[in-house]
Amino acid sequence: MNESISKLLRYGVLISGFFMFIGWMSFLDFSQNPFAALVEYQINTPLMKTLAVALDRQQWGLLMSYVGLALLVTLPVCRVLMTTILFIKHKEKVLAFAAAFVFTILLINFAIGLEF
Amino acid sequence: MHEILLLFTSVIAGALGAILGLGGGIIIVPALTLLFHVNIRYAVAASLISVVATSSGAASTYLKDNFTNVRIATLLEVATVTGAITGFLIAQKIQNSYLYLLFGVVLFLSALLMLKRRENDLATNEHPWAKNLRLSSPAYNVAAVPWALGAMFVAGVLSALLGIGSGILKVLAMDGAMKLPLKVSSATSNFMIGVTATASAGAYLLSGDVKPEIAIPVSLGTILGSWLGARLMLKMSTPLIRKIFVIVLTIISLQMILKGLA
Repeated sequence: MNESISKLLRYGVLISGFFMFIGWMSFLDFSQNPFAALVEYQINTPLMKTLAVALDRQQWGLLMSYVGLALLVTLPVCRVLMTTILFIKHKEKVLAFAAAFVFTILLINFAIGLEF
Repeated sequence: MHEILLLFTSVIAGALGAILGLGGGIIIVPALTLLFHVNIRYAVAASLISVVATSSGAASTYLKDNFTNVRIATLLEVATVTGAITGFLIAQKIQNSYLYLLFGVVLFLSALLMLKRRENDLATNEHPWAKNLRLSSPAYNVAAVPWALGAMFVAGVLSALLGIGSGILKVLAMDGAMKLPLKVSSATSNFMIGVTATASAGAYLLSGDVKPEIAIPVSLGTILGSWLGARLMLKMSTPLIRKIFVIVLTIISLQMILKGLA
């Protein structure tokens, strides 16, 4: 079980890291301070709208960086799903139920946008 | 050059987070707000991404070397997630300043207790639940499972109420109540914090608060740092890890007390 989960996390991190790195390289600009615009909090454009605009303007670097970030954030969810499947496979009822419970809560959370 | 400096800061945060099982938020948030003057909300969003990166990055190494106990993590995650939902639901009705004060004092006392704990003080008897669920390993027994579940529930509530990482309470519960070896506690906590953080990180990402210009150098840095930290932790002596943990715990407890008094 440990080996399978370890592989999922290792390859997941590598793939998300690859997307983020390529995306980052495309908009890296040493001539200015990229954090200057982030001093004050502004009402943000939701992710889906940002992605639609980036797609429209063909900003592939920005899109790749968001793909990398999304892959990274969903990695623990995939890990919990994999744990559930592995416990079911090994007929560990209590632990399979525990993992399935956590997976369900995570899905609900993603759907309604709770902040823990 | 700001990005490169942030990348290096994140490498250190990822390494320390992986060694202690706390995630890198304790370094990332102050670095972003104090060094780079980034707004706290963007800093918190980037820090949550860094916790997921540290957790996933280091876990692959700890799992391979059997330091992470997946069975314990799966059981305790139920309590943490339930606690987080409870915390979210009661957040509007609670006066946070008292909680910061109480939490700060509890952490400070825990630091003192942790300093006194000896490395060979492992559980001699196995708790019945641990026996039924085969939580123990040939190297150690698992004690006080209900206490640890309770502590995880509280960790989840506090994490939702105060916006703090719950890694500290996870390590303390596994080290103090379940009497696991410190390296197992730290690796298992590291494995679990990714799940707690991903819930919030997902919400921040969807709302547009995760800014790639800071979240990406932070993520890449913490991934590299967590790989280095995981390899370093396997070679470090347990008393040294305990000392570093106690120092970090004391600093955080004092910060909490000051926040509560402010």
